[in-house]
Amino acid sequence: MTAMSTDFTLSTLLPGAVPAMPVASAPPVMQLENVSVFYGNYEAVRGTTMAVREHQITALIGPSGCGKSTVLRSLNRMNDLVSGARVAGKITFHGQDLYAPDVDPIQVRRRIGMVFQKPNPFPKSIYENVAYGLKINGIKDNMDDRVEQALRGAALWDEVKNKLKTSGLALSGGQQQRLCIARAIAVKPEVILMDEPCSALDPIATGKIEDLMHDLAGTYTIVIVTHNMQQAARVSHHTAFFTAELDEAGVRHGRLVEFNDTGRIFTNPADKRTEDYITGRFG
Amino acid sequence: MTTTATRPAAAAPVPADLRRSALPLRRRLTDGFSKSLMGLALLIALIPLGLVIFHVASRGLALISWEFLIEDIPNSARRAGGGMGPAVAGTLVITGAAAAMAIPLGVLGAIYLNEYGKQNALARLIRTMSDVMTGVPSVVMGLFIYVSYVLVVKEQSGFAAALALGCLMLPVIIRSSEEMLRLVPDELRQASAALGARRWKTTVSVVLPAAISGIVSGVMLAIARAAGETAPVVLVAGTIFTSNWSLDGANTTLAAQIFKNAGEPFVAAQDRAWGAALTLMLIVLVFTIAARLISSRFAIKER
Repeated sequence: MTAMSTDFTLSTLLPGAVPAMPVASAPPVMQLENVSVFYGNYEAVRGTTMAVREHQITALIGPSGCGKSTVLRSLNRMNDLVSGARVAGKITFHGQDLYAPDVDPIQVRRRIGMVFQKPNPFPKSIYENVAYGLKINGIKDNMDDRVEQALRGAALWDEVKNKLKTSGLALSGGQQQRLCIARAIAVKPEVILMDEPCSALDPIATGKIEDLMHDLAGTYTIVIVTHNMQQAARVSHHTAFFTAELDEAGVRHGRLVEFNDTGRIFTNPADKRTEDYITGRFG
Repeated sequence: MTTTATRPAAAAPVPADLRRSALPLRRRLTDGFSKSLMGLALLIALIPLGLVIFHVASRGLALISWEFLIEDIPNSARRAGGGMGPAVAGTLVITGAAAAMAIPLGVLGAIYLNEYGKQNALARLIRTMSDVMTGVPSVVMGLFIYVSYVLVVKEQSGFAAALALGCLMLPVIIRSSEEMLRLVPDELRQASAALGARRWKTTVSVVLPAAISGIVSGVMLAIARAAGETAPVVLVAGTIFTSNWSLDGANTTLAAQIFKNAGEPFVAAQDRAWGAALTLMLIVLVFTIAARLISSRFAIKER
């Protein structure tokens, strides 16, 4: 059994996909210390400690209901929009506590952007979709250039440059998701959170988004939630494995089981549960 | 495959006849019957509408002219000629003022309910109160304004009528606008929030444009209802025979004039009532079309 799991390496998943970057060296941008997230009285995730490193891709994986999306949404205070949601523990961004009383969640979200599971372009033109974030941030000069830059950054420019005035909803699903990425990077955040960005897309569109993530990692720090382990193995430098477990009272909580370099997680996991999950003996 | 051998024998391998004519007679009859029933229901629903339009148009069309729209109302009901000028002016002024009071209040109220208050105690109270207010008969609203405003300032006026109509429109606008705001998907609000937009900015630039055409529909319905209200206007606006384009002083509306003239025993007055009815319908039609054109400029296209 052990022999089988050690055979299950990154190279068997996708030959040549091992991230080239030296992974541990980059400084952490965000730190989570003993973070628990509550919905009302229910503790959805308990005791998460991990780091998000600069210009690298951190993947959060695990079965449904393990709290990975919940953790992701707590990183830019999107959970604030859910009534009754509360975060315990400490999440810092460049050393600043994100949940300190005088922190403005709007300022947080301007620096830590988000791409959602279902592509959700505004029902506006492609141009307006990208320009929206710039406008609300008070940027008015060189609008055309900035929009073009963002669309180029999201590898969408060539496909849409002749139809910027058409509705964002007229694009295909994969194009819509890249439009959402363009919209997110237009405001030049430091960190981009991606919540299962490819789960609604076909393999070709998924491949394009993954390529894009590699390119973006040079400029942005990315945290991605994914159901797809191969995707985590292909794109990420670090992987956090979450699972859902029953506590003494029989209540389900999400837990971080293991956090390490992606290579280690997939070749030599420290925890039996991680090994079972990535070798497909779980869920 | 080995599994096919163990499966029970499939139905006879007759090539299926996929034509509709191959369906059992019963099925086809049911289909035809249901379809004709629906068509019939539509026709029956259209009959009153068609009859109203036909009747009002056939009796009123002869009356309608530019003069009819601007000339004073004869102060003797039995005299022929004259027009409905004061009633047209009053309808525009009073309904306009009512709309100017009720639309901003109603839409902002709906925004509060759906975007801010949600399920808190105040929001729930407002929802219940506006539902109760929807059920208040217009004549009761007229009496309310008569007691609380007209008796206080001791003057019947267009403004009093506008107050009464505004109160009637308000709950309709609040509830219909809230429904429309609720239809806007939450994903859009989240997308906007994730870009660092404040809630108000999200509401104005994303949620309202997505809901605007529905909101306009609800508002137009409320305006059309208000323009046709009779009882409160008769109670609180008084009546006049020459045009009054201000909100001060007594005024009259087309609906009030229809009520008044239709009750007269003189043919000339009854004709004027038909003319006023057609005029009112046309005014509402024109404003509905105009509102549609304006809102389509703001609305965001699906494709």
